[in-house]
Amino acid sequence: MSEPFRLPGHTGAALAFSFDGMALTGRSGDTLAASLLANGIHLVARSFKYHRPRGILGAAAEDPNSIVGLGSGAHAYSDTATCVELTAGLEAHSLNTWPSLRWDSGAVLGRLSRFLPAGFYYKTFFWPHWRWYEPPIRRAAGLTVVPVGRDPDRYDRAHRHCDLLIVGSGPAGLSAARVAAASGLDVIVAEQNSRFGGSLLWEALAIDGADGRVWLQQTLHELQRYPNVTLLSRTTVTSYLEHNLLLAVEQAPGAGRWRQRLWQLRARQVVLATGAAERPLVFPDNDRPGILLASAVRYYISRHRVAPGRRIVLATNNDDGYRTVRVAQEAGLEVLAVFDSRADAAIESPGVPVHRGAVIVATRGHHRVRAVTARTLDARQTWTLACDTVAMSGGWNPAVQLFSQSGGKVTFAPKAAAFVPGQERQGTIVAGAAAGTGSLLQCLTSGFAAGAKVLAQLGLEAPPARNWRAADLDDHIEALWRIPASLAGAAKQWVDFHNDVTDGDISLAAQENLQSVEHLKRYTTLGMAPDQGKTSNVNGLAILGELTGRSPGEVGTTTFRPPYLPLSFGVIAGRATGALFRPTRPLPTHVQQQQCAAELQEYGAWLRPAYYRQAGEDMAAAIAREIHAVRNAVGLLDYSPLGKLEIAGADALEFLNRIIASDLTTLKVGRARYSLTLDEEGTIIDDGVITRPADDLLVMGTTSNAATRLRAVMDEWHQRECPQLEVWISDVTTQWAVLLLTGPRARAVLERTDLDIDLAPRAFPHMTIRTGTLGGVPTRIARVSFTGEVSFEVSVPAGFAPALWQHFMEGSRDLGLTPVGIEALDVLRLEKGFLHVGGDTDGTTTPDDVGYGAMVRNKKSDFIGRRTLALACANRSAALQLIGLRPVDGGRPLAVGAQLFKAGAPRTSGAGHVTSSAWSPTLAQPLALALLARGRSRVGERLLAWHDGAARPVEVIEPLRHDPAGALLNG
Amino acid sequence: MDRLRRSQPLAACVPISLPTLAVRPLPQATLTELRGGLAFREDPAFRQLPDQPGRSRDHGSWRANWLRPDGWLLIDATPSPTAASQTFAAAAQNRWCRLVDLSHSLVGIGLRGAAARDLLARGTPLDLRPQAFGPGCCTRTRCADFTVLLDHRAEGIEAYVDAPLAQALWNWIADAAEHLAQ
Repeated sequence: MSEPFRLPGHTGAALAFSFDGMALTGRSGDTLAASLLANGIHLVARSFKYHRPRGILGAAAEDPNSIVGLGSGAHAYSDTATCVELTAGLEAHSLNTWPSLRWDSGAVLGRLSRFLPAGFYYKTFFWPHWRWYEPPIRRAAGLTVVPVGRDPDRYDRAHRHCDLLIVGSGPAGLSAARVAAASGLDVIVAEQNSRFGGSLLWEALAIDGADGRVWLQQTLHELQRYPNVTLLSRTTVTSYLEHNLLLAVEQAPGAGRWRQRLWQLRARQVVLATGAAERPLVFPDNDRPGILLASAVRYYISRHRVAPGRRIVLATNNDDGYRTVRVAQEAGLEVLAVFDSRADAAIESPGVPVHRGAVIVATRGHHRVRAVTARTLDARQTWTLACDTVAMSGGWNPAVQLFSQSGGKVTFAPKAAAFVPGQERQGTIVAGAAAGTGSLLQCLTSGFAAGAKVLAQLGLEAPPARNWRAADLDDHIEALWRIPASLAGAAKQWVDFHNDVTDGDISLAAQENLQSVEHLKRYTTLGMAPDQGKTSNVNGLAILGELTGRSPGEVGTTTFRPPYLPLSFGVIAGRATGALFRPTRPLPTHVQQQQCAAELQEYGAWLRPAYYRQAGEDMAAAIAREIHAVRNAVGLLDYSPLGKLEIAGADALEFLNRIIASDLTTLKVGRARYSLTLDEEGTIIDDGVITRPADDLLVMGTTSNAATRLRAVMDEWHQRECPQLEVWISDVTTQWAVLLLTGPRARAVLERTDLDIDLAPRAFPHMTIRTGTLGGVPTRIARVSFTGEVSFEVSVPAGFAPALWQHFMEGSRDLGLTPVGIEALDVLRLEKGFLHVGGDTDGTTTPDDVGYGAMVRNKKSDFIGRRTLALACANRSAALQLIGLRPVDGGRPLAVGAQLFKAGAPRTSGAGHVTSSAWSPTLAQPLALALLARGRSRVGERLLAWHDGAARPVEVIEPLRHDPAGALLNG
Repeated sequence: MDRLRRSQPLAACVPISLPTLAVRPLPQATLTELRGGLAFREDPAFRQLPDQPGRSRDHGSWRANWLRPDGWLLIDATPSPTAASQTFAAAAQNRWCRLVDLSHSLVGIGLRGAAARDLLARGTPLDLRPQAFGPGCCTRTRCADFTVLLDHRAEGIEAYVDAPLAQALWNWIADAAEHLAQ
């Protein structure tokens, strides 16, 4: 029989879906939970620790039980059945059960529960070592299987600013929106549900003498007419961050579009009308399927026309629970009895026996509750009733999570037996049930007041106060945090349904002197489940209070942290996946690189050629060929990523001289100088060549990717330390492309152009810069060498670089012009013993450590880092110093990163490590640079280098250098 | 040697056209960073610049965008020597200001239509509502993983990005436009 528990009156269309392979029928507009209940399915999951049967407890996000798997394959995800909108063909299944949900082998853990109390992890699994136990525990834990394929769903992210963000669209939220909308403010209303209205959709409420849903429709109709109002349904605000930045996740209304969108909402004012969630009562075996929150019973009956059961027992400690009796009776369901823990409860429930001062002390049933036993608190009277549903009402918890995330403080209100918002920190206004107000009239009034307050804060005129005719009953509650042990006996009273935390676990924590609620949480896992304790926290901390002689207010709450509900990784990533994940910077000659068969790789943010493979070559052969070309003919490299900062103005030289470690006071126009850049601790952060094309212009070369950072450093120093200096710093890194010609025939290549610069060695020597025109466009050419060969760094405006590359390649093949990749360049510089900052240095390396001590010692004026280098601590005796290494055992290069140690010493001694290493085709031997403690004084010493699982003998040497006299590069 | 031919990073991109959105690469223009010190404020040419942060000033064939207290970006469609550079030539000659060519460093993308703001809001946390960012406003901000200069002209918003990232930004915009079209 289809939907045996569906009540008359649902207008939705029939939808086929499945649960654990069972073909079922639900209705459009239902949640998955509602459709499951309509089919009589209460058992939907197993608990995390003991695998106890779990049923649907609540109606919305507070439900701790009903996490189910959805979809299959790469589309698989998990969610709470109470939050999943039913769609045609939805496939749902239970999680973490074997062989089936009904007969789950993990339930054996429940029989071992006496050996698995709170904290047993900490007490048990430390001997002989945690790692013995970790694998099986990890296998047993977890709720779902992470899909391994690429997520085929699409996600979106967007930012949005507004004057007022209202979270929640119940009577309070809509009342606030109505006030603000009329003022013209830019208003957003975010509602978690697929429909606006909150409790107006399902509670029997009257406003001004009419059904509350009439007021709801009128209000929505009015709000939809305002162009300044945005109504976002299916949108859960999950995080309330600083400066009124809130994150919200919007679910797509149907399949075929994006699945979720992450809104980053920045609001001038925020009204939280997030409502309240009902608390369970804590009594023995209160966790069986078929035991629901009383409000959830009303919700399923009224909103979805579903009967959670036919024979209902109500347990309550407050007046509000009695509403469930009326709703159930009107739906034709049998309410067997009300057990009210309050001995003096004045409220009546016509047609149903009300047993005051009575509580449920036992339940029976395995996969579904079958009977309850109740007893008066004085134990004089006992009832046992066969039933299929228990509705329980333990009072209401205002949904203060977002308020708490905003930095607001919550306080305990004894009359409401709940934590309510106290002092706010970001001007946040809380309205309705979230503020602790119980009645419909109070919700409407507080919403109106919130809207009016926003207008006042924004300097707008507030409308006159409104009056409604609506229920204003003062809900009476007498807190009952658990059943006294004298009545409950040894039976477990469940507090956290998901994590299987009982009042006994809390008692154990209290016995072991864990008095802080934060400690309680971590010791017992109370409130650590995916639901983050929405139903368990207050009961748990109140029980801790009872055990330690404190009120709930004195115990306090744990910190509510974002997100309010779990976020999918997909929505966090948004569209930043695949090619959009991290944009890389192609070279100006990217197309030409591809035409030359470059193996392109990411070097920092840039996509650069590692090497150029020719037919029949492997990588090593390609690199060797390129090196040979540079040493014997000429190589061509797109060098554009090197940073280029122009420092201009009358005080440019004075300013830059205060920044860098080299002395620039003697740098003449047209000359270039190598320099290190240090931070305030004297540590090397970059190096490069400074050129001076004009009297009032210097160009600071930086390593790739460093220009933006160094410009920021220099801007800060200029503004903070010497604003009186007339200096303008401009980053022209991408304005100028640089093509490097390097090798003995580099000059010959340039001589085949129309360049108007004298290229003769005497006119244009090493470490100089010239400006002119080339191919009709302006050019700057620097004679700077990182390879040890004659080199010309030819700069042209970037848009002309492809044509110039093409010109060089086509016009100089006969000269042996060869494109050269980054890997060959690295070997070429290693053959010269040149420093690679970031490779041959670490976060502690000073100039002296790499052999540039004289650079800083000889500079007379101040510069960044100088003061630190003058301190005694800078001359530390065990400093890692850059040295060369020679493998004693043959020709294989050492591994970069290989640790150095003395024979007999532990190989993790930290004595040093290899920083650069390669086979040198030019010198026909392996080369290596290393940072070694007191390295320069240890030349000739034998050490071991840990390489591929073995120790290799090495000798400490001076760094080897090709052409040590520099005759080639000066040629 | 022939005169070197200039390449455009977005030359191969096909303009995007939706009912509420049109995106196209902007034609080549001369982009110049103008920097000036205190003395420059006394120069008559200084009055051609926007006097408020985050604002631009339109002069017909060229416009100036405020970048920082002593920096502006001049966008000029006229041939060299451009009208903008001529405006500040005397001050530059006196070393009261400095002009730095960034024509090859930045690439412009034009966005027109009611959905332009929605598209950019996919990437930038900036308040793009008309009352906060209307015509005459400009700003440098992050949009997705890109640093962009947004220049709100009367006819739409123009985004300028570092040339090597122009294609990646275009791809990002195309993807965002696809989302908008759904």
